[in-house]
Formats: sequence, structure tokens, C-alpha cells
Amino acid sequence: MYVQFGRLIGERLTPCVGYKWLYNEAHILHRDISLNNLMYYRDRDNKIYGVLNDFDLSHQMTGDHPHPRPASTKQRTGTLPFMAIDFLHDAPMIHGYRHDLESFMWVMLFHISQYRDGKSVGPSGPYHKWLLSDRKAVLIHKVEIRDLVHDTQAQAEFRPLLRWINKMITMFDQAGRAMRDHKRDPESEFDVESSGGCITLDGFEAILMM
Amino acid sequence: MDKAPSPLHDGGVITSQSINPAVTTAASNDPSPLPVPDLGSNEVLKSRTSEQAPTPKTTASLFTQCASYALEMMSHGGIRHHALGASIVGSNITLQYYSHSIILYSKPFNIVDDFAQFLSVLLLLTSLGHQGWGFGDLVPTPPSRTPQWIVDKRTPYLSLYQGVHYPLGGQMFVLGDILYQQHGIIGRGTCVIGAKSTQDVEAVVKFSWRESERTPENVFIEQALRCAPPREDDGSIARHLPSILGHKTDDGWVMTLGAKCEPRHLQIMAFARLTPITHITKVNDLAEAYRGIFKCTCSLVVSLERD
Repeated sequence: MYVQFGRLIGERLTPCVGYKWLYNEAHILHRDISLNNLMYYRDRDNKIYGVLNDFDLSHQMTGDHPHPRPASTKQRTGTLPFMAIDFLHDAPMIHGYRHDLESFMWVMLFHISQYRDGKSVGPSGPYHKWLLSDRKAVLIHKVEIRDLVHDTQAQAEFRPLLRWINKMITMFDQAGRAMRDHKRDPESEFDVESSGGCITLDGFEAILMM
Repeated sequence: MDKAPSPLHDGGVITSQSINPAVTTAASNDPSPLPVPDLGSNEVLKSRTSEQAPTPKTTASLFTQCASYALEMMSHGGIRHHALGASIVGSNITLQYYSHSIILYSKPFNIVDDFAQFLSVLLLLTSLGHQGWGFGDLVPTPPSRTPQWIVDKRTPYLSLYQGVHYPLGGQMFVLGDILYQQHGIIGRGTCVIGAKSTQDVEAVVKFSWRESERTPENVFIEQALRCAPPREDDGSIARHLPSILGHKTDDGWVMTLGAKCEPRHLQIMAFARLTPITHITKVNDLAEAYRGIFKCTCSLVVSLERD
């Protein structure tokens, strides 16, 4: 997507401006990035196309409603194992684009570690417990992954994708630290949507192009 | 699991009406409805599946048991708006209503002392048609004889709609097995059924009890497709969005049962059938699929700017 944008505008826009432009013009937030909503098909040439499915919980951002309402814990959209860390806390939170990106990360990590030969490995996988745990337990485990208490794991055939996951974790770890620094100094200028510029669409895309 | 309410003990203030006693949430002086038990847990089924001899049940566990039956009816009984139930303790009967927006319990009444009311309720039940029992224009067809393997494995019967012809979007879809049904009472209750169109396209038909205030799913997809520029190469965002074959909204179910009952529409959509991403076994294919999905997610942002 940022590649398309770059062709239109050229490469003179800084990533920060580009990100802000994309976010300010955003009109749809999916809000339910989960493994069940990711599908694929092959065309006649056997080329593979990933498809984002299920827009039931999407939000259309307009001038009058630029953000979805802050959701209480009982009303939050999303699937628990793939929820962003922000939404596993008790405080109401406005769903932003960075939360969808974080959900992508958790979905990919869960997928490459819990599936082998197209089938779930079930309880023998390292993150199976996310399906059985409550919100607090999932929060604790995800924070530990983000803080590098635990190593990320993957099934053998998908281990090359761990380099993506680890780069993404670094991105969100930096974002978390930046947010905490900002809370200590709330007067400082800080772009919440990008967590102080730590989470950007072209940064995320650059990881996927590795 | 949350403790089920016990109207027999404290009753709340539930209005009991002569013809239709099951109408209000507890405590009309209290704007909060009865606490909704968390019915997604397997704990709910323990009392039903236990092989121990029946024991005297508390009122709370009785309601839990009833709720567990409703959970199974709403989760594995096909596309259903609501389920009705009743529990009897001694001579007192409590009527129950379970829908995707709210769970209601009537104030209990005595079958002997209020025999006329009890007869009224029975007459009302006999007059209910398919819609009264929670079924729409798609009524499930259970097998005439339950296959033994279903009984042995306690497995949901997935062929409730096998062979049913369903018109949608100017096409006729022949339904197959249920591929997915959401487990729970409160919520969208999404049910996805495999299908084949008369044009021989492999499809799925998705039924979902959408909150009325939410934008329908097809609106998001159609708007994105309108804005997504066609490209001669394979980079079109449209290739990464679901392909809608037909859709409609059934608003015949919209009903209000107080401010706490969220109105819902039955949203029906047919899509070209896709494969779960978890079926991919090669890392290069998986990487390509994820890249495409990410590009699509981002392009939803950019493309709508052009609208």
C-alpha cells in the first residue's frame, strides 16, 4: 500500500509525514485481525493471493467519527489470543491502526508456531494456552514475549519467518518504551497513533519485504 | 462462570402478565438487566455430561443447566434467533427466553394456584410458528434418526441444511455442511455454510446476527472495491478482498425488549469460497499470502481517500 502511495506522490515525503497522511486519510479500520479471518486462493497460474476476510467489526472513520468509540472490556472487538496488548488491560482504549498491526504480529507468531503441514499441533505448541487462558494470563505472556523474557518459537518449516516476528517485536517493544516515557513526561510532544513514530506502515512493510 | 440469577429466592421485581409472563428483565426498579452468565465455558456442560447420579440442585445450578441447553440449541441448532425454556421447582415454573441480545427470566408462578395462567402459556406455545420458535425462512432438517457416531462422539450434526436451495443475489445456492458456527448465546452467532451456486461456483453463505447500528459488512467491501483502482498486473487490491456473490438483510427480527436489548438484523452474505491460511505448508507461499493481506489492509486506507 505504501508502495502505491509512493508512486503517486513520489519519494519526497518523509516516512513520518507519509504515515500521518495515511492515518489521517484512513477510512476503514478492520479491528478483528485474527487467524480465522485470513484466507487465500490460487489463480489459474497457481499464484497465491492472501485475502483479508470478515469486515463485521470494521469501523469507517469519517470527519464526524474519526475514531471508533473507546471500548470497555466487555465490548472490545477482536479475538483474545490475537488482541493487542493495549486491549488486554482494563482501561478503555481507542482502537488505532497500530493495534491492527500488532494483531498481525500475534497472528503470524501463533500461526508459524502452532501449525505444521497445514494442521494445528494443539497443546504441543508453545502458544496453545492462549486459546484457553483468560485476558490477564494472555496479557502477562505477551508482555513477557515483548520484553524478551521468552524466545519466540516456530515450527521447522516456518522458522525463516521468525526474523519478521523478531523485528516486529522490537518495533512494538520500542513503542511500549516510548509510551511509558511519554507518560512520565505528559507535557512532551508525542504522536500516540504511531507511538512516537515507532510504529509506521512503511516500517512494517519493510519488515515483510525482508 | 457468573452465578445464575435465582428469582425464586429474591425474585427481583419482574412483571408477571396473565397471557405472556416472560417479558421483562429483573428488577424494574433497577435499570440493569439480570447478570448474563458466561456461557462460553465448558464448565456449563459439566452438570449435563456428568455420569454421577442426579443430586438435588440449587436454583442457581438449575438455571445453569437450562442455560447450557440453550447454549447448545443456539450454537448447534442451525440459524436461530432465540430459544425458549422453562424450569420447574416443585409447583413453580419459570419461563426463559434466550436470544443473541438478551436473556430473560420470568417471575415464577405456581402451576396449581395459577392454573389458568399456566394453560394460557401452553396455548401460546402451541400457537407459535417457526418464527416464534426462533427459526426464519431457513428451517434446519435434523436427521430422522441420529447417527450413532454423533451420539458416541457428542459431535454436532453439521448437515442440517444439506441440499437446501437458498436464493440470494439473483442466484440459487445449494447448501452443504455447516463449516463454522459461533459457540455462544449473546453475540453475532455467525454461521457459515458451504454451498455451490447454480453457476457451479464453490461458495459459502454466511449468516450473522449483526447489531443494527453497525455498518453491514458488504458496505465496507463494496466501497473498497469501488475505490481500488484496477491494474493490469496482479497488484490490484481487489484480488485481496472477499468476492461477494450476493447479500441481503432480514430485518423481520428487529424487536425491542427494553433499552438493554440491542436490536439485531440477520445479515446473509454469499462469498466465493476461500481456503484458511493455515492450510499453507510452504514458507514462501505463506510469506506471499501475508504480504498480500498487509498490502490490502493498508490500501483500504489509501484507496478510500480517493472516494
